[in-house]
Amino acid sequence: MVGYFGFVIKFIVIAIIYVILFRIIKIMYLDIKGIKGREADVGFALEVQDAPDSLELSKGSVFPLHTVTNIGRKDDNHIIINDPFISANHATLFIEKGRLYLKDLESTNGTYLNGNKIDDVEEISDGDVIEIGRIIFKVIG
Amino acid sequence: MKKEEKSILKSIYLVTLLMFFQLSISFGKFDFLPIILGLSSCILIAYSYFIISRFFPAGDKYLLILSSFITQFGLVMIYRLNSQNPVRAIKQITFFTIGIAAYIFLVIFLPEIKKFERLRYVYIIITIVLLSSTLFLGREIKGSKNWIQIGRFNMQPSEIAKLFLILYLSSSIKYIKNFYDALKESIPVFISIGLLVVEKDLGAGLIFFGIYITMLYIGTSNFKYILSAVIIFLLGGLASYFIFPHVKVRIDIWLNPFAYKTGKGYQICQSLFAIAAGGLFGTGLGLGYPQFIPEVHNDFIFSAICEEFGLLGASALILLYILLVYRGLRTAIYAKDDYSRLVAVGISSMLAFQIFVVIGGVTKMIPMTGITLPFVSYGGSSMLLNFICLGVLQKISESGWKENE
Repeated sequence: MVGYFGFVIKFIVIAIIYVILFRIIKIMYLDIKGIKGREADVGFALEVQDAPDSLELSKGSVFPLHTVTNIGRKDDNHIIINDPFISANHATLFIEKGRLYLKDLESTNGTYLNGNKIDDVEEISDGDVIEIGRIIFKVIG
Repeated sequence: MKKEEKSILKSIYLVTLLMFFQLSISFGKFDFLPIILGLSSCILIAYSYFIISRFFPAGDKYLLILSSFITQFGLVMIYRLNSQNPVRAIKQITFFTIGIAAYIFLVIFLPEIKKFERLRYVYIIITIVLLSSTLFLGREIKGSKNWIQIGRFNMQPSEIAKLFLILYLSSSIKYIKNFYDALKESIPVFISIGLLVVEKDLGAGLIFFGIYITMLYIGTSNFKYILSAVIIFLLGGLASYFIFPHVKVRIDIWLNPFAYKTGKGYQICQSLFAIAAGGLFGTGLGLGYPQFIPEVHNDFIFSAICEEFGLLGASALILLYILLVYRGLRTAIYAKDDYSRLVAVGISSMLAFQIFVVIGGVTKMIPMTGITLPFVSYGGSSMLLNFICLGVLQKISESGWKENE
């Protein structure tokens, strides 16, 4: 009886030990992934180069870019600019595998990259100039 | 994150109590002592986790969680091996308590590690004095002259010397600019290793060399130094094979243990039989025959774990050790200054080499050398030292960079 019981407990013990191991490894995996994610997060930023004085956007102010950063007039965007020339959801910037992309969200007045109007996703890098409405951003990375 | 940790701790309590419960019924009669041991170690883990997470939430909690879980394997196994006369298990849990107390004490009272940087010659003098003290005051136990008796306690000075060696290396490595400096700073290390070989404490010598070479490489990232250190080590090893008879015996046993199976190779042969008897799932706690291995509670406890927990249990233990070492190295990455970084690297590499030398020894991957498995083997000074090292690591991780800075 006792021997049989010990036989069963043996498997339960090993199973629980592996469950614990799995959970610890999962947390450490998330930890390692988190380190990489943070590096990507701090990698890029937008600097305001030029903006009308009425908009309370001072020249030189910097917006750090997250994995996804939305720009627009509505309150649910990450960068909210209350300017009539900007659409409710104007454009989005996203980071994928360490590279930064810019996408126009079918805005009324369009998004300009280095002076050219974009119609789909474009990869951007350090030094590029983005024009949204009356505001000019510079990408720093 | 905190919720996760607590639920992991709950599973650890569950598995600890389950193992001790199995021990209490597996020897014919119901025994209360294992239940008491299990409950008290669970309370101890819960208490130390509470202190660390309540008052020092910035540090790395997994160092404590992993090491106390590993300690439970040792406690269970030591009780199981001497269930008729459980003095050793009670002593071991006493030293677990003292170790946890030292750990918490260090986390609370240790000043910034950087302040210890100046005393580098003090450390190496302490190391050499500790190591040579056994030559004059030592007692010969089981063929190695590496024990000192103080009152009723036997202790191994080489255990404590390891920590001082790490402190010395961390402060002296930054002075290495060229090959001549490297040689100058290394002479004390080679003297210590030589002393260990003379005292027949080969395992400790191997660990000293491992710590030295890891820290030298991480501190200087110059492959030439490593190469020359390895060459010196190989020459010294070859010379000691011909000069010292005990080195030759160890190597001969390693090459062919079954030729000496009734004499000097008896221990390693029994260890191999025990590991083989365990199979994939093991025989179950209390159902194997690990007591056939001489000195099983000490150096060969890993073979007993292999026999009773099987391949799966033993690999789980190795994985836990790997995670612990990873946590130590992670502490080094996040540390704020080079000195604490090197101390963290040294402590992690000490743990890693110790584990490798013991597990490699009992499975006959490398020649057997008598050292203890960290946190698992029976032994007061080793348990205490490992928790002290962990306390230093915890302190470094607490004052290091935080994740959201």
